[in-house]
Amino acid sequence: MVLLKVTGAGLIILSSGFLGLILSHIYQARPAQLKALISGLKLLETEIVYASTPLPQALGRIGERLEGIVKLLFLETATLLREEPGLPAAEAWEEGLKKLKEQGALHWQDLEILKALGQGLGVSGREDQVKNLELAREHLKRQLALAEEVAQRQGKMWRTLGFLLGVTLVLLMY
Amino acid sequence: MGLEQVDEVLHLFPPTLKEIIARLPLKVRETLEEIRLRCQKPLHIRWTGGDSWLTVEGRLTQNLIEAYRVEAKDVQHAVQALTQNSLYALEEELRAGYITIKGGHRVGLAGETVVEKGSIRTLKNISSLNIRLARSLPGCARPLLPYLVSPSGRPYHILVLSPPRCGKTTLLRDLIRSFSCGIPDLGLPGLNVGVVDERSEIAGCYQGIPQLDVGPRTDVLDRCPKWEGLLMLVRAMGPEVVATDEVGKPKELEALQEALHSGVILLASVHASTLEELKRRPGWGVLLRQGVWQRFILLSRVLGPGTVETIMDGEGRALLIGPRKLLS
Repeated sequence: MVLLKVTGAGLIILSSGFLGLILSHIYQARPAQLKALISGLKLLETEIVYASTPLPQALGRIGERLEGIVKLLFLETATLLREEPGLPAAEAWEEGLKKLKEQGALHWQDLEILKALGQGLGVSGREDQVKNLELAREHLKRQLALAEEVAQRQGKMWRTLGFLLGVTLVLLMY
Repeated sequence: MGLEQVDEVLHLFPPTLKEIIARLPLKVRETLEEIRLRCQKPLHIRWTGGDSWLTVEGRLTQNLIEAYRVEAKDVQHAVQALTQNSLYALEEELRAGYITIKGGHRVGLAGETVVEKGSIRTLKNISSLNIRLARSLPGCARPLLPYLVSPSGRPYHILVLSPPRCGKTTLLRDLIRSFSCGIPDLGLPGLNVGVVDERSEIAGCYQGIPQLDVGPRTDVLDRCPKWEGLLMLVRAMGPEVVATDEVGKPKELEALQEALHSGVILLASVHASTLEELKRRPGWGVLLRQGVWQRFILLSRVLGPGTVETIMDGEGRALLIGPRKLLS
């Protein structure tokens, strides 16, 4: 009987501990995605400045190189632009953003920055494109700093809170 | 024939315009030369037989009120399709004012220029497009070839004189193709031909690759200033024939002479209606008196584009008296 109780209590503590870990992990997702976005935009700048790659090919190439959910934005936009040659880049980009909004962990502020970037995508000369991309990257970096802070605070809290909750439950049951 | 070329430019247009073009009478579509889009102005086309506005049903009309007005978003759509949404990748092209697309067709652009230090940096707010279909007529020069090759099976130095829109470039292209392929009937083996194509009209290069048939032994320097390109080709590629379009600037004439000294055969064209007119131009008198050119071909539009008026030898004696229409 005692053995059963001990095993049960152990299971409760373990599972709520895990729940805490999962929750803390969710908070890590946003900074990770922001980081991927920033490096994606840096790659786009390189494609534009050094290779003059047309937008559909450039976005496609970057999408293939990126990890995680963020690549959806690049791949979706590239596909749309390839399928409908007359579609404005801003519209295609917004479709891509919708995908990212559904499946990613980004906040609306992050998405707004990307949307603003989309308005100017491809419609001006090289220098202008670089400025536009730099601006977006700066904004995203600020968002990243905030997100990391939140993730650290909340992450730490949930990691410990999970186990504590388990222990409390076990104590209450006895 | 001629419809594939129309299909090649059709992808630039939004659905409404696509419909209109698709509904054009077959005769017009087959010989279409130009489609012009101007913001808020009627849709305009030109074909071999004339020019006209178009209605929304794809009917030809001379009545401005009936004509379909091109909307700003139509032009925008075309620009986006044309540039693949990547104006930054086409800065050189925008500065030159035209873009060559797959198939060798050229799209001329006008709008607001961005000027920096007195010269054009780029174009923005593009409001007018002129889509010019490139049509090659392989074999069109065949009836002229016996006059242009010496008995020993070597081409003469040839100058094509022609007013605008008389088929000068089409003829030049087919001469290039013929010399590049070789003409067994005249005992002419295939020759290496170097082409300096400053305005991408001869070979219609898209990303450096000729889209029009210029023959198997032809090297093209695309978008290259003629005077520099001529000598560069002679040095680098060892051509037996060098060809270029619309020579005229003093520097270009100098380069032609220098190329001549290296022993290559010259094939060129120039904007002019008669030999006398050309003689009066600066720089040309000397070059013509030197007797460099061995054959002159004069073109006109008397029987439609590509009418040969005369072929003359170096002394100005007529060898063929036209008008005679090139094969079409």
